[in-house]
Amino acid sequence: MQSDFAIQIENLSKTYGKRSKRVQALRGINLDVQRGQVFGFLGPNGAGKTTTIRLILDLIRPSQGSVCVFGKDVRRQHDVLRNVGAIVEQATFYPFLTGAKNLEVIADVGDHDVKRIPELLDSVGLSNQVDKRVSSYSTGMRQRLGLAAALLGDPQLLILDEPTAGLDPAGMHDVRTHLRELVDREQKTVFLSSHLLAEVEQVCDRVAIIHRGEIIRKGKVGDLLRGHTQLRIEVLPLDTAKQVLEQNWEISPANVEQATQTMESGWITLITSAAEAPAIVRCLVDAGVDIFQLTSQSKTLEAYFLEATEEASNND
Amino acid sequence: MIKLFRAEWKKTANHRWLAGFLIWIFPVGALAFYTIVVVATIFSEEAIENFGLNGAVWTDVSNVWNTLSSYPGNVLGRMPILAFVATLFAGEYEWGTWKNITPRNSRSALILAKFLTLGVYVVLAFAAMSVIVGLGNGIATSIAGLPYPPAATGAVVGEFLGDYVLRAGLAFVSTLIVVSFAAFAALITRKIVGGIMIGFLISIIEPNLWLACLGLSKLFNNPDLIELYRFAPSFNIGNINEWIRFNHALDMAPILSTHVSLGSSIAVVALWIVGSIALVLLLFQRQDITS
Repeated sequence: MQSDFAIQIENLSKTYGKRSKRVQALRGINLDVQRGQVFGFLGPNGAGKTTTIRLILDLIRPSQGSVCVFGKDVRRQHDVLRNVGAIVEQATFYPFLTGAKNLEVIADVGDHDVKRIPELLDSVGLSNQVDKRVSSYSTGMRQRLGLAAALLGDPQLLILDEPTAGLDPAGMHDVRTHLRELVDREQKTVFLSSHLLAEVEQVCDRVAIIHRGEIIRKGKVGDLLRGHTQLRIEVLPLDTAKQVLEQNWEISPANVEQATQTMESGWITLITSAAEAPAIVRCLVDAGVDIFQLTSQSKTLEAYFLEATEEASNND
Repeated sequence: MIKLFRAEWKKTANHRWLAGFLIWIFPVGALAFYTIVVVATIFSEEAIENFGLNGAVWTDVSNVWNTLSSYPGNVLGRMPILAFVATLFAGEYEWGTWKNITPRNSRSALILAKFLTLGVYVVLAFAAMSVIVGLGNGIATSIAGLPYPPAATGAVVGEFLGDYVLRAGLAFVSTLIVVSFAAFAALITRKIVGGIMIGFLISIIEPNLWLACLGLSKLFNNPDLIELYRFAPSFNIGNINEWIRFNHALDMAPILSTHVSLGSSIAVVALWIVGSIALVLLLFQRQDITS
């Protein structure tokens, strides 16, 4: 039976080194990635993102736990990885070969069709660089070649570690659009690790945040950010507004800003849903507070990520 | 395996330094040498003496394999091949390319394809070298007006081919064992230079293992310990050569007291080949690819 999941990670741990030099890179993570989605995998440097990707690709052995791709254990049924295209960390190639020859070598190793190479090179904008050696390529060109290599076998699952690193803004936009098309039109699955949180927010359906080898948050992007709306209100007088609002809503001192030291007006930021706005306005007007502005702001994934990782750090 | 071999061939053939300098150096070197011999023969009668053209026989072309099999000359002769193997295996770490290919095929197949590539290169290079040496000597003796015996009758050619295959096979096998350890070292150190250095050391140590066995027997005052040398690859390859060419066992008296049968030596050499390649496969199967 075909699995609904492109990736299933169960209780996965990885420890590098021995004895005093032991580093626990992953601590029993569990993760499911459904087919036909762009899944964002986020985390600070050294959080365990690349280690997880290496384990999915069977490049390294787990200390504990298992990874299944399309329902097959990658260690026992390595062949399932022929249906996976990947860029791990920076795309690296044989520097003495041309871009096209590099793809030919990878195609031969993976038993992929070499006829797709010109089309793929064209799709990543390298068709006029095919006869140049990779040693003369820029970082961005290598990254584009990496994307072409990942797509070589027309894989059902793409695992991309920082795929837009080194690309110019137009190139980054092209990659994002291309990835979305692969998922929306061809029902492929993309597992995307990136530091560019705005990019992840734009392109991903679900995300997981990893911190110090543990998954600290996971879910749909919309669900994670829901309930994190901010209402920002400009009021006069600030002190009265603060006293009135504190009776029904929680306000931290950091969310109260005086416009200037000599003025009584200022800003209050409430973490609440936009549906609360009428009640807040009524409350302030009844108390004789003047309202100059009220804006609703959704929290960005970046802000959510920073808050989640900071909270996890404080809990450690 | 054919596609994997094709991939390895593309890599190595397009790396000018790798195949050009380390493998084709053998036939190219022979070509350069015989160009000098031919030119010298044209202009100087002393060249006939200096290059030993008087008495040259074409069946001696099988001596080209001595470059790999005759100690101590083979230490130098094997160096380019050791460097080739070290680059073939450790290069993937240094270029960061294992991560592109290991998910796409089984690790064992990737390693075996490298050994196959090595084997094809060595055989092609030495076959080409043999042709160049044969033709070079033929042209030079012809210019000098000397005979180039023996006449190529069916019996002579048959005997020559048998001798050639035996020498080539034994030289290849002895080299394969050494390069397997060089490959193992390249995988462990993940450095080209690591593979070369360790391969070079094994090239020197292995033919002299009898000294180590002798030292052990003196140290522990046990004369039987020297008999351990019976399990060394070089001894068994020498013994196989002796059996096939002269129909008797290699006499290593007074170092070894016993004579070893042909079957035993073939079994020991086979074990060394299978064991050393299996060691490489096992190591790579268990290795974390982190670059």
